[in-house]
Amino acid sequence: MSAEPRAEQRPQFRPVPKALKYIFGLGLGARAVLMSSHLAGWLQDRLELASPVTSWTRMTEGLSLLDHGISPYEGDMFHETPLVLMLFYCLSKIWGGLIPIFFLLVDLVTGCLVHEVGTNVCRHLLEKQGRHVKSYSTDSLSLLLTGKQLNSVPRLMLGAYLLNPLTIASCAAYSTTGLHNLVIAGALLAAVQGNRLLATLATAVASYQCVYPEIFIIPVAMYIAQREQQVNPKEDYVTSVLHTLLSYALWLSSLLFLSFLCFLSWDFFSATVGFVMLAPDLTPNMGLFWYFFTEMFEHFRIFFLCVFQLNAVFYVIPLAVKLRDHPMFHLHLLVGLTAVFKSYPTFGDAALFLSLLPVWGHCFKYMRNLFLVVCMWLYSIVLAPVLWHLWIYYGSANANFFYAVTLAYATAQIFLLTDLLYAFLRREFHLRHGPAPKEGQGMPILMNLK
Amino acid sequence: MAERGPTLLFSVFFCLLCYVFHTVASTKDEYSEELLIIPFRSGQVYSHFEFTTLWDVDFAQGGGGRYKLQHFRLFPRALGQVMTEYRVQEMHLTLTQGMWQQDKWGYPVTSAAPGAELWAWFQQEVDDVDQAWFGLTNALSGLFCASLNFIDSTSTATPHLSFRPQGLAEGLFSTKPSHLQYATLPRENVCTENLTPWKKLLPCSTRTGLAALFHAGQLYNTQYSSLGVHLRPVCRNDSCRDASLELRQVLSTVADPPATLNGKQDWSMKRYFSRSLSGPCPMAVTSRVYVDVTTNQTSSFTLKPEPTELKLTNYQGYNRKLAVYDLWSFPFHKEHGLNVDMKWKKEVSYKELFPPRLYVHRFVTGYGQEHGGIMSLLYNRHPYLEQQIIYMELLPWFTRMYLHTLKVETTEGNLVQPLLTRYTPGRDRQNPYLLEIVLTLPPDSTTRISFSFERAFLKWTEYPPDANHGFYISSAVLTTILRQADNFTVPPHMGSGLQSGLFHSSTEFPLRLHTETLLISLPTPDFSMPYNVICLTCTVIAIAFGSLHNLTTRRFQYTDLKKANSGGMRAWLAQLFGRGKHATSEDKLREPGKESEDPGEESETSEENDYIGEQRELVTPRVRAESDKKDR
Repeated sequence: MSAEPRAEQRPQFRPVPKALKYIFGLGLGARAVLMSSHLAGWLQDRLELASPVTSWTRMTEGLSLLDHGISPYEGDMFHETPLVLMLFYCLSKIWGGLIPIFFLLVDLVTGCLVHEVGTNVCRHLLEKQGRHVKSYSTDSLSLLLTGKQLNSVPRLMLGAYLLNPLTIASCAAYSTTGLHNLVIAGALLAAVQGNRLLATLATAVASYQCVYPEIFIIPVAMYIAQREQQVNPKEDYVTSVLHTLLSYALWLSSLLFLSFLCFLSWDFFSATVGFVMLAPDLTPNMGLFWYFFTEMFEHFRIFFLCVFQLNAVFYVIPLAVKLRDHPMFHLHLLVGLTAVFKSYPTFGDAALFLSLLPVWGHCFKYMRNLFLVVCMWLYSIVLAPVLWHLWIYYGSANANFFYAVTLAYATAQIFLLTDLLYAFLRREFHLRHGPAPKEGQGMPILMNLK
Repeated sequence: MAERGPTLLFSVFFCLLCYVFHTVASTKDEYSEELLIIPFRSGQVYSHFEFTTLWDVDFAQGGGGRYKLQHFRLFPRALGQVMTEYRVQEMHLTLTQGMWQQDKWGYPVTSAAPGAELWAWFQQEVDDVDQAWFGLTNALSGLFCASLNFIDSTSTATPHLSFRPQGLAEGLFSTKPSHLQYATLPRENVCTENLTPWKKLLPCSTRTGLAALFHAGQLYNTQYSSLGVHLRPVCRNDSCRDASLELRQVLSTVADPPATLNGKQDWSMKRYFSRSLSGPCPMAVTSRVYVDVTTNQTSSFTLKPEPTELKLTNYQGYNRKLAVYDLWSFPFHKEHGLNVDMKWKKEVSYKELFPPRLYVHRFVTGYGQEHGGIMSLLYNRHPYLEQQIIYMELLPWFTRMYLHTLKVETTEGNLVQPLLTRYTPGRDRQNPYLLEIVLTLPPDSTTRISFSFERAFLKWTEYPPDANHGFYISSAVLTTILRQADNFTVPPHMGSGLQSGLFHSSTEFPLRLHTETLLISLPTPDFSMPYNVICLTCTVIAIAFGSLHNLTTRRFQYTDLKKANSGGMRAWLAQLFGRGKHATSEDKLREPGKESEDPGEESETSEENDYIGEQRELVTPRVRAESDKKDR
């Protein structure tokens, strides 16, 4: 996507560093090896990597139905969007071997996008710091960002995406989560660059593809409005936001219309958006929905469905108020929040958020339970397949075991997110009010009500 | 006047009577009852009862008129009214216990799926087929005491190839493909409560005639037992200008004498129905018992009493010898009822089994409760003839079939290209998966049809009481037209009654075979957990909500630990863990800017800048006192 022209530009100001080459090589190699190994088939059916929406098995089924002249949206086997289906249909018609190459490319491009997101966000943060540095406490010099981050952070992000075992496995499983990550990373990049047309298009593509990124448009609109105000202080904030929303709505409706043209029917809407919203498929995944709605009393089902879906999107409002000066951070936080609370999450979703974390590395020193989070992550990643096999194949465990793992996984992510928000807010506080008094001067901070 | 009154009344009455007789006479009906007994080579004995009622009634009046059935005589009114209400053109209901073993027993007279199987064609004028189907299943459920009312859209399909109308389907009776509804209930248990209402539909009930043999305790103590009700329009005569309504009531059982008699093969009516026949049903035009004695060429068994007639039939070089007892001519006055008795000379005389030319087996493949597969083996044992067949598979929604895994190949590994594939994908909790393929089976081959499926996870309320017992998947159906009749118990026939099949030669033999039903276990949740799960998941959500609520609605503020020391649990804890140990020696920091005024935004910077430099000095008793006041 927009990574190609950038890649061409890059040599103009700096050559591709060796580290980047290594990361690319290693990431590519690991994916290629895993794809060609016999593990690939096993990975394809791992429900931690592939949800009913993103599973490659379902995509194959969709393509096969298309071959038989049956609309894939007639049944309940296929939930990817029509445009993606058409894309894979063309790929498979041209040459079947294109598909693994396509998945490799998607991940590489996502890596590039994440790298660019890193560069741009760092630059944005530095600029912002430059603007606000006067208002910072003179004691908080040690907290300030330096230009060094411009170099190291994007590389870390690239590494965190391309070398993350979760994305490698996800890519080898042909999970379309990779594609979802690509469009979300594209949306992030377009947003941080502040081009309204491109940003709204990318966000529209992302929300078309994975539904939940609809809420991204709020921080994106705020960010664009703020940027415009910096350039031209006369610009009206509300008008700008409305402009962005309108442009987003236009893009999204044109995407939907394009999908309508694929099959000349709106069936796809209930099969994609409706499926994600109503979560009728209770196949276990790493999310919170499946067991909850398996065990739900029938007369409360609709109520809790609303609660859970609202829970996934509602945080955008309080965060928009609290982080009104930091829409970029807000946006990144939403990537993480939707990865936990969406109805069919996979490891790949969380991996994208993880790769975004290095941008906020300057907040890490205020995080309180990083160790706990890492332990819970490792625990759930290792134990999920083990307990799944004990339950489904050996019959010696039951559903509760796997449920426990998914709970731990969700809790870990929630801890990470809230901790990050805490750290960010605390750093902001320290920037303005000076760093905590040195040891010996007592306990610095407690939370107080407003 | 006074004398003419009664005369007038009488003449009016007479006219009315004439009219009634006329209408009754114009709807002629006849009833026949037949029983076919075949000793199998494997030692089992197959008894097939067939009760046919033919009613010359113009029941599909032209011009979209109302389906007219009235003045019932031999035709059961209960069934007729249901047919009229839902405008059913053709209906086939079978209730079966046990599995017909094709490779041992050949082909049954009427093939039936284990459990309940119902398919019906509705008349063309029916607008809302789903509604009519719903009504029909519920009515039949009441009529036959079966759980047919559990048939809903999740078990109903409309196959396009496998179930063609068996009766008239032209002219007035032409109908639309969408007017066929097919459903099975493979878990249905069939027993006496279904038999009792079924036999009440017979004109003589069980008082006399062949139906007198029905003793529920004996009928269901068999390897296979199947009840059937088949209703179809047929041609009234050769010109086929008018139609008649044919009702076939069928009951088949396969008894296993060797299993119950210490290995002896002897069979008699008295022993296996605990009754003997006392005479024909007076309403019946024909009342006959046929015993297949083809295998008795070496007179390995003796048949008592002597049959009234011995008949030889021959179709396509296949000879069949039948002993016929005509109940109308049987001398019941001499004997004490008719008790057909087969006595074998040797204790055991099982013979080598010849599986039929075409048969099918089906089983589940795979392990674990995540995925699975279904494989069918289709045997065509004909040495040189290809066989074209239609294979139909109806899977419930919770076994999500993957079409792309469908593979048709011979066991040698040669791919067989289906001539036609019709597939209707299922929908969760709405529609089943329906697959129909038309294949040509190569001669002398075994063809393997396999595909895999994914097991769905159901809601905890969707599991049946015994969740770990598993879920039944209805039999696959194989439909074909055979060109040879040698494996048929009774060759399929176009006419009514067994007689037309047994004694009339045809060149094409339509055949339908049902495979085994399958039992599939689905992964189960912990049924005792709903409250725990709701609590735990909500707790996790609450952690997120609580933390985010906290962080977004509150702001950071320096706090006076000394103040906190005096009362706060948190400070006490902090002290306990050593974090507060320095706090006791020195004064704590507090934020003077925030104390007196309304807590401002983080962008209020001018005052705070002053504070940064002098914050340590700023901690004065005055401010502390203020904050104390505020806290109180």
